[in-house]
Amino acid sequence: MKNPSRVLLVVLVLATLILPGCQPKEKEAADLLEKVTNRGTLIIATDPAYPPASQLVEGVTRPKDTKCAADQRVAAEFVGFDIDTAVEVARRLGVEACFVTPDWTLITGGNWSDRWDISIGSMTITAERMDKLYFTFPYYVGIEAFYVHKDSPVQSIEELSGKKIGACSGCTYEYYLDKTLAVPGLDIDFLVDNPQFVGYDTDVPALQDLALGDGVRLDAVMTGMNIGDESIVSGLPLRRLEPTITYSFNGGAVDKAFGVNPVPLVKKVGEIILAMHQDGTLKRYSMDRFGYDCVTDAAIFDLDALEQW
Amino acid sequence: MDLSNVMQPGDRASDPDWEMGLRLLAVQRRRRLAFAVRLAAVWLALVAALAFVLLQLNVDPLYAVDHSAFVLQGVLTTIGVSMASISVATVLALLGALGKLSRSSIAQGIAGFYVSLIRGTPLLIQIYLIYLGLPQIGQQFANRGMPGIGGMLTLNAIQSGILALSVNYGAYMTEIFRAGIQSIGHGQREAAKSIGMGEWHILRRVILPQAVRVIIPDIGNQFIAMQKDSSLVSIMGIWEITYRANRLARKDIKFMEMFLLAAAIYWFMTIVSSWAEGWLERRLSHAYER
Amino acid sequence: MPTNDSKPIVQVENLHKWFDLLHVLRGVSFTVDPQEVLVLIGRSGSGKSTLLRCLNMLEEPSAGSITIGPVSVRVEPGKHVDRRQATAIRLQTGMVFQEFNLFPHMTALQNVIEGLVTVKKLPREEAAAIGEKYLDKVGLLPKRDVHPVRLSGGQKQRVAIARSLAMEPKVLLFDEPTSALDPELIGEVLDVMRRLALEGTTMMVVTHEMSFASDVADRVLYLDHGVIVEQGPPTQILKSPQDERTAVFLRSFLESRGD
Repeated sequence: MKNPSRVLLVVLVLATLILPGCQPKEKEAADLLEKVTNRGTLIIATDPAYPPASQLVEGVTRPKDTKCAADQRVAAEFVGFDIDTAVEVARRLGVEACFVTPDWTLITGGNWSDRWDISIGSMTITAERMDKLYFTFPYYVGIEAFYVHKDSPVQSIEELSGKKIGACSGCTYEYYLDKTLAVPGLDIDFLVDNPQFVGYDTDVPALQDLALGDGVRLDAVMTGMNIGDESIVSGLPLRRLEPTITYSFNGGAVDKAFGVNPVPLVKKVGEIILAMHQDGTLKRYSMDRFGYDCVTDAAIFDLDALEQW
Repeated sequence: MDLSNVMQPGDRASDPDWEMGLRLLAVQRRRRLAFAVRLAAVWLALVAALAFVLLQLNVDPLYAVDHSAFVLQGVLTTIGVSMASISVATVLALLGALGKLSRSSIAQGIAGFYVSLIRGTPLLIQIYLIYLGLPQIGQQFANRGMPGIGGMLTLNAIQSGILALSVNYGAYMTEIFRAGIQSIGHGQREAAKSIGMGEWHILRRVILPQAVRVIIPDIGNQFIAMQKDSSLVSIMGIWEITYRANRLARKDIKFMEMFLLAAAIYWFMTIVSSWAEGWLERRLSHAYER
Repeated sequence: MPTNDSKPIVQVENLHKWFDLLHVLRGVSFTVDPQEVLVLIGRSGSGKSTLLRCLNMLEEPSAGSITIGPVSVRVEPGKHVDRRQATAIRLQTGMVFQEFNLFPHMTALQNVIEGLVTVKKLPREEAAAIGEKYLDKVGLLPKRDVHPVRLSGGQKQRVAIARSLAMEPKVLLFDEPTSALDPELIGEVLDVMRRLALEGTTMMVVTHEMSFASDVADRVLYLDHGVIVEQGPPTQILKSPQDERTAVFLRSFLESRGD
């Protein structure tokens, strides 16, 4: 190390080379469906933070023959209802399912800049999201519920008016609680008045805060029934309030701001999902992963009421 | 002058008080050893106290051990992102410092604006802007018939993360570099000028080699901070330590276990980093020791 | 010894230097002949160091003209000196600083050949040969691979002299070269300078070493408040100064030294 400045210089030059040049160009395609078929992979965004819809698998070795890019994940690295559905959709499109795992806000916000093709990640169809995203026919419905600490005197959802209610911020729960939630083609009965909303990144920390004691940090949490019941099974001292609430229809979503026309892909995936409803595939996945049927109710959904195109 | 009968320091043969020197040296060594032992004892006590406190938490240490392999796979990602970012940040910091020290109003203006803007805004927002915002600017270029620039501005998650960390740390390190360059005495610059060296040569051959030695400990500090800040890139779905720990925790609702595991890994990495920094520092100061 | 018919190697005319409203050099003019040794004396703040530094463009003169060898610089008030001109005039001069200013990250030899390699673009072996020649001249060839931190003050200053010599300047400028040295180390530096003088090196020396001035100088120049008060052979200036200011300076200087 006779001349540190020379060493420094070499490091600097190498460093600037690490920064990217252009990415290789894909063959021009008329629309997103063609692009996906040409590429041979469907790039799906999912957030493996929501068992049993989507969670990680440890110790997976990547198959050698995968077409997924180096910064994408292969299907084997995840397990869950969303993953089952996504993999089957890709299979019926005749391509391989590859996954990326951006933060939830990055998925729902649109402007994906062609980084991935579709979200199959339990995304509820809402009017706000329809500004940025196209939705496929829903593949399952969410069953939501309110949870209180098991020492809480509260017996009905209406009693939670004015209380501190935790939920993930930016999720449908926040809009349900401030009564701005609008689901196209559905008349929602809002049961709580003027709660004090406490926002969380995701649901589980909210449940853990609630478990600290009745009213310590929260009086109640609104979350999906699967997540809440799971946390009770795993030992949190919580209790579910009846009735459960269903307003969320979860579909695949595609960014509207794509360089190429995304509509044929959205329609095609919608057809595949409908077929999976009809041949019982989705119901089988539902019984497998949730232990109950949360797909049959989706069949009543009227996609045309969204007037997307 | 005849020096043969003058006593040299440390001359065993001619010094009648040699034994005294040996005794003093022994005492000194004993004191140093005792100090090292006490220091180690304090560390051990603190580690034990920490372990005791952590065990009071409702945690299952074995769970963390069983699932450490999956989290440890993120170490390379964290180190890779941090190394690449600190390298690019070093380039930016050097340019920033030269700009700040430049006599050109344009260079000074750009450097000052860069440092002020970046230091004045949160890293997380910078990450979002680079990941989400740059492609939209690129789209504008593409719409105006420059698809090449459009594609170049659509960075993937790793590239966005490295760029955001580099730009952010480059701003902080600009001040470190400026101070380091200014810490080199004016005489060095004058001596170099007096033998006719130009500005570029003075910087590269005289100022930087000396400044690097001053700057290295601070760069090491920044690198340590960066290893931890790099967890922010997990929002783009990069599977580094924090992401792996966090998403695994959700599976079995073992947040505390996985967070403690991640914390321990980060701690260990920073210990290794500061050790490496110390080694580099000693190597660079070789020429300055008698 | 200067020959009367040779052209002066340094020509300074009406040189001014302002630091804000402090008028440090007030129209200084003088010449230096080839092989001449010129010693500048004066109290601190008289402008003698500034004068030296202006010749080397380490300070930018405010006005006046400087000619050294073939290079001529004329400074108009309020105008900057062109960077290329400044470098050209620097290459005509070598500077030896009070604080040595050796490059601490380089060995003695690397210090000496730095300018040869980066400025004169000589190949390394050729530069090393020249560097060794000048290290030998100051008696430090055995220390060629030693870093400055392992050299004594006197040795450092001798390496610094070799560094200036290696660039083969027309004139060597010494800015109080022994002021930062312990008394027992001054001799070795003055010896080297004495030898250079005997070999015919043109030198301008700012110093308080009056014995060096009387032994070695061809001409002594007394500076007071930015003007040259008087100049002449050392015997004349040091022993029988004509100007009252010079006499007062020398008297107080000798008293303070206790000589």
